[in-house]
Amino acid sequence: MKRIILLIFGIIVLALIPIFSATSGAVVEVSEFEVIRSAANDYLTAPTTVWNMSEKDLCANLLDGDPANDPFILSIRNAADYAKGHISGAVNIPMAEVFKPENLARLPKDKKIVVYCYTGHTGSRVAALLNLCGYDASNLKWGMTGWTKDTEVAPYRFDPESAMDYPIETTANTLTGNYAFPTVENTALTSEAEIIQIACYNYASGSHGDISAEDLHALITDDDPANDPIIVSVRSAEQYAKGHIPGAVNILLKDIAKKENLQRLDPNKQIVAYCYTGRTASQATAILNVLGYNAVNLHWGMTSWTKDTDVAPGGFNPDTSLDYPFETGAGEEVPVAPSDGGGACG
Amino acid sequence: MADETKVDKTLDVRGEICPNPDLKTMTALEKMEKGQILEVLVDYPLSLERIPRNAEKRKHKVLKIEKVSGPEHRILIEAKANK
Amino acid sequence: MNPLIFTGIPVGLAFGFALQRGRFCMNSAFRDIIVLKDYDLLKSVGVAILVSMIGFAIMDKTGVISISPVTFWWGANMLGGFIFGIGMVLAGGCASGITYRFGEGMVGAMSAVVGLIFFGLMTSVGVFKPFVDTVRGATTITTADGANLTLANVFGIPHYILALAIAGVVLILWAVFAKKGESTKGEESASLRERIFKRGWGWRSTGVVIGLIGIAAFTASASTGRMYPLSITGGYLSTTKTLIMGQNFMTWLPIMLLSTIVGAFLAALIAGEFKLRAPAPKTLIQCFLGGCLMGFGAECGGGCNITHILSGVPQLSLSSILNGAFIIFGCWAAAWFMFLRPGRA
Repeated sequence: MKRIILLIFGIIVLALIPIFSATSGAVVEVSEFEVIRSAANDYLTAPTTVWNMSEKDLCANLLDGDPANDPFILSIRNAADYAKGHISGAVNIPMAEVFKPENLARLPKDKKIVVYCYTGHTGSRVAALLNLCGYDASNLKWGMTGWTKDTEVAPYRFDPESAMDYPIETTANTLTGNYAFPTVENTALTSEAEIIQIACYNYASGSHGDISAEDLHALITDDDPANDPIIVSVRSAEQYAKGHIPGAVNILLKDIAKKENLQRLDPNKQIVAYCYTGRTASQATAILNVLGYNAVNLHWGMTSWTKDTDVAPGGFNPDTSLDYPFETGAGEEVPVAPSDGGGACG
Repeated sequence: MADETKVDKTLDVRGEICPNPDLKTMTALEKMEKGQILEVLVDYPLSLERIPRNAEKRKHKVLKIEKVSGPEHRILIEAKANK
Repeated sequence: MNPLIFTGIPVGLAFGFALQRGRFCMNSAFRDIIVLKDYDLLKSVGVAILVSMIGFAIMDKTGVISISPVTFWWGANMLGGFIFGIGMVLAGGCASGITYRFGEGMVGAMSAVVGLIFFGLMTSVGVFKPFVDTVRGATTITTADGANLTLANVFGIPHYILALAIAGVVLILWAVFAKKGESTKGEESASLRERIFKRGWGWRSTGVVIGLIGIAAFTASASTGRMYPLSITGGYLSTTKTLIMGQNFMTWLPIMLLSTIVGAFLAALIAGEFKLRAPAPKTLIQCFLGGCLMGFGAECGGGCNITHILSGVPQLSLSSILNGAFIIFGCWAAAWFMFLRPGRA
């Protein structure tokens, strides 16, 4: 090879460096995917993140006689169910509407927000996404079904008898493979806040059902490996080792937005996330969806897959759901008074 | 095809895996006297290219490379003075 | 099934053709440094890495692909690389070497491929997997936000700047220090057709062509969702799993790999270099054992020499640089033992 030609090539290659840096100045460097992923990762890995709040703690907080430390309570159920009964002081914004800019504006940024729904699944999702949008939100663990035994007010309670007896696996699985990240293109707007808000709104206003244990079991036992979803357990490593759904891999919720884990997820496949009871994985599901993956949550988590409480601890016990007071009507500000039966907070 | 060159040693390395054809050839050349002719029968394309190159680097003289059939070739090398 | 997986066919055919024409084998490249003091293949590898490095950097900057290094598990990279290096000396070829020679009809290479698949499967899904997972788990290092390590993110420099700077400097040094008059003999009298199809390619052409194929491979593969350039071992394993388990694992990579064997076969056929030939039975067993070590080494370290040295080093991947270095160490250790130690012919 002639020296001159090599020299010219060398100079051209070096010259590309300033050329590329100059032209990239005007272009938005960071993809929408990366904006959302960064925010999600910051939220999930922050040491102060509290994912679920128990009913006991909320009740104690409301009844402690100090309204200044009360959180902002957000109910995301539909208006009719809200009117039948809601936690005192709660404001109702149905899930599909929460992320509209005008509704987000009603939420405080300087106060804790407690989100609740029917069972804790959708509340989890909204709480997670609110955090991405810069709010400090937690989910009320079991939703309305943990607050009161009244099934008129709190339908869709979990029945432990309905849990299946599906096989569990103890050998670990890992994901190999290197995939491209999904392309997220929701908007032409470029501010980070708007990019995140629009992604959340698109997800929350769309349909996003959970998958039942029966349906998941059917997908992985039919003879068609092409429709098998990627199953991700977000439980602790010890619990995963004790027993997990066959074929599942283990990625902790706090690690779910790390590039190293995301790049192992095939964006063309469905992902089923599951946890102990359906709430933690709900957060993972919401985050994966706003990142452009196609993810669903296993309704009621491991407690719906197996009755074995060693493998699936922490299940909803209908007897421990409490009898906390609620108010009816469309958000009248009736002060909370301990109900006759329940007394103080359990 | 009749060949006038008198061959002093024939090395048949056909079928051998890398790098045996090359090693055996270089070793054989080293043991030969100056002016002696080595005939190498080789069927491995990489060695076919490498042997002449390395022989010349070591100051031996490649006299002829001829195809026998398919990948089989015959290389004639004249050894240089050794020690 | 994504029809884009069939882009693996032209890429594979070209790759196999170029491998055979260029005699591209990293085992020979590294081993010949100490055993024969021959450096042509090493130069081919260097040129290929250089060309790919430039191409990948430009494509990453313009968003065509994303740099996706293999995870840095230093324990697995070192162990896997070293064992792979030993294996390829026993097998008489690296992963690309045994693949193109398979196409040339060399039974020794076929024997090595069988070993590669056997131990490769035992490591990726069989008895060796728990051990390898443990080693990997214990020695993984990533960046703070979980990305895999490259020289660029370790030093905090944007990838394209570092890669282009390295490549540009290397080109200039090459221009300054290249020896004069190193053209291959007999070129004056040969036609272009002869030089492409009948004669072996020189190291410069080989390196450039393979580097360009690597660029095409990254683009084609990325279109199917597999964000990585050329690999070899994974293709063999997926193909075997498809045949054994009756389920379809045929994605871009295995399709590309099968096409590579066909491409090498066609290249050999056209050049009159195809012949079914076998070494002595003892050598066949040695090739098989070498293949086994390669299979284990590849699945332990996260890839064979193609995955790491040809595809990973141009991406400035730390795991590939480490793994590649240990492949060379293993190769030299085995080569010294087999060919150079006193008392050996």
